[in-house]
Amino acid sequence: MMGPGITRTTDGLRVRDLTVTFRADGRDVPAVRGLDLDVRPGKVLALVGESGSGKSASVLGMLGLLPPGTRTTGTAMVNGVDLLSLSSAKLRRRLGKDVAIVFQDPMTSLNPVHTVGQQVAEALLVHDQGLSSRQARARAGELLARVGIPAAVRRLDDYPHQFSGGMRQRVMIAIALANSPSVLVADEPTTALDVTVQAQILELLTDLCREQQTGLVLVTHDLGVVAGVADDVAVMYAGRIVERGTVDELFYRNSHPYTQGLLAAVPRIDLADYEPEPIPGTSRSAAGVDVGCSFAPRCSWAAETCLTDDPPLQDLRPGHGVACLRAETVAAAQERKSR
Amino acid sequence: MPEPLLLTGAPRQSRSQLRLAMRRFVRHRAAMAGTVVLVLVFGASLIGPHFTPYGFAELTEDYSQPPSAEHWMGTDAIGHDLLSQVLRASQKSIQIALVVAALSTFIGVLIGTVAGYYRGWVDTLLSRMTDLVLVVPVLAVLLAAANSISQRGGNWFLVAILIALFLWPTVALVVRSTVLSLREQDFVQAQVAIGASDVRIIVKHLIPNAVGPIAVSATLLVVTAILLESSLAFLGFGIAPPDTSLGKLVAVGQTASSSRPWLFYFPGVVLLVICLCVNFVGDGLRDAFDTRRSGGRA
Ligand SMILES: Nc1ncnc2c1ncn2[C@@H]1O[C@H](COP(=O)(O)OP(=O)(O)OP(=O)(O)O)[C@@H](O)[C@H]1O
Ligand SMILES: [Mg+2]
Repeated sequence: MMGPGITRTTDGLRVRDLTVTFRADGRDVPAVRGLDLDVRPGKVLALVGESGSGKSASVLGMLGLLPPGTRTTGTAMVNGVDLLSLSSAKLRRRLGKDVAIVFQDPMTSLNPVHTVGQQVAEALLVHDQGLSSRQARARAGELLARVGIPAAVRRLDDYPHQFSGGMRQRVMIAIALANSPSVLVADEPTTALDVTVQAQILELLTDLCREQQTGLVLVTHDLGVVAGVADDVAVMYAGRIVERGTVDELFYRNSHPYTQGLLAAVPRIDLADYEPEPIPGTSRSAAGVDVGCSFAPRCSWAAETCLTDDPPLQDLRPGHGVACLRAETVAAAQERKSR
Repeated sequence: MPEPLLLTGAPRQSRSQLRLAMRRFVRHRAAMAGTVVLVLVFGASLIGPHFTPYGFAELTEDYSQPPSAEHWMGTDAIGHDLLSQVLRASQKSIQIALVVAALSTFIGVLIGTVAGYYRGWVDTLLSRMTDLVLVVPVLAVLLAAANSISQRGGNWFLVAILIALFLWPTVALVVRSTVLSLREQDFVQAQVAIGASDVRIIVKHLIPNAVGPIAVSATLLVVTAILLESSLAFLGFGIAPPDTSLGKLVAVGQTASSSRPWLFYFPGVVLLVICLCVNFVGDGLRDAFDTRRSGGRA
């Protein structure tokens, strides 16, 4: 699972210096401030962070899916093409083919007036004009079977309202993976679902992506989920990545106070008398951050310099980056604690 | 045990919203009655002339006859058989109304969807245009134009096109506001994300979801078109003689309503019945497509 040179992207997705600035009430609202991200083919990258940290803004931004008026800068390379440099018509030809996305709410992501079969077939037809509608239908049946819909072919002619939430999210996954994209983004794909099916859907998603060598960006604020399915983790705070690395690095050698806070806040059923400990203070977005570390006001490690100097994201070890001026101290303390 | 029944209600039955709407429409008594009567009237106006003994433009020897076995609806002062004329007039009026409804719905849907989908300056431009046409004194402009049409032989098709050019704004407004709210729905974003083109999104996803409001405003246009053509005819413009329309017959008949009331009442009643029936159909469509009654979330 681990190895040297893990941050080098061959195919996958390579995002550099992404910024997203919303426009609201005539004012600029920064949401993402210089984000770097690498998604390896067939691997799962979890993007975690509290609400408002800019996770959705980042993933929608790199696919060019934000509302008009939003300013997005930086690069997002997929298969040798920078998505952010494309005209909207050219970008449309890449979406669904090279990169795809699964949204949070499957109840509203399907058009109520068309059958599920039509909508899966459409995902194929949009990118392959040579396909006959009969071929598309046959492929749609296969795709639905692949995402675990029972009696898939018989359900092609059913309408979305005849599917449960979990089944609809399976349909959305079938649609997203229809053209075997290099990268799939899933923005909290299970939060809108019944707790009982969340794990199944997540497993399906990660299994299929691994199987077909699709790199997966899994947006979530559930660190418990991350441990089980992700290969790499990137932790976001106030529109920036504050720590990133492999799952093992992040869980056992985490060096950012925010990551540690997030982990301490996860309820654990495996430890009998474990008290989850929320991070003091409230989460903040990128808006209004001017100088110093954005986490400093909530950080128990904060020193003078943290309030004035911007911490750059630096590799503590190969493949493990931290944006904290006191990372070494924090890491050392963590090591002592776990020993 | 009603609960489990509810849960498993019709799981295998594939029913589209369109089919659901159709079922509700069929159950709407007034709407169904209206549909049947309209079909009968239009059918009669198309087939009837082949069976009546007189042509609509034919001048008989019977002047100003009240209804009789020979002339079921009587005759006018120069010997036209009124039944033949009413049949012909219904045919023309309905044809005009249908062409107007089809054409102005087409223009309205086109402009409404483009404005609602693209928003921004495209919307501003199209909405200004819509407002402009909306405030134009339709009758005055139509009169001027119809005048020249009358002089060029009074082709009913031209009259229809002309009316349609002024009636599309109501459709455009309805469609625009429907599309504005539809395009915010997740499934439109999901379509963008799979790479569907704008045209595809508009044609396959937005318009099908707006069928209800479109159908309702289209039926209302039918009534407006018939009445507008009648007003034109009333003022002496539009279809040129010897051809005729219901509005024209009513206009002519009204001048004689005291001495020869049949000339006014027969075409008048047919006109009224058509308009009422179309309204019933419109009501039925509105109820049928009412999403709040569709049971389950859309
Ligand atoms: N359309 C918008 N206009 C203005 N500001 C926005 C818009 N969308 C998001 N924001 C702001 O951008 C910041 C980041 O939002 P984003 O949705 O990316 O957060 P998130 O990390 O996905 O949170 P969550 O876990 O709640 O989904 C927030 O402060 C939010 O208020
Ligand atoms: Mg989000």
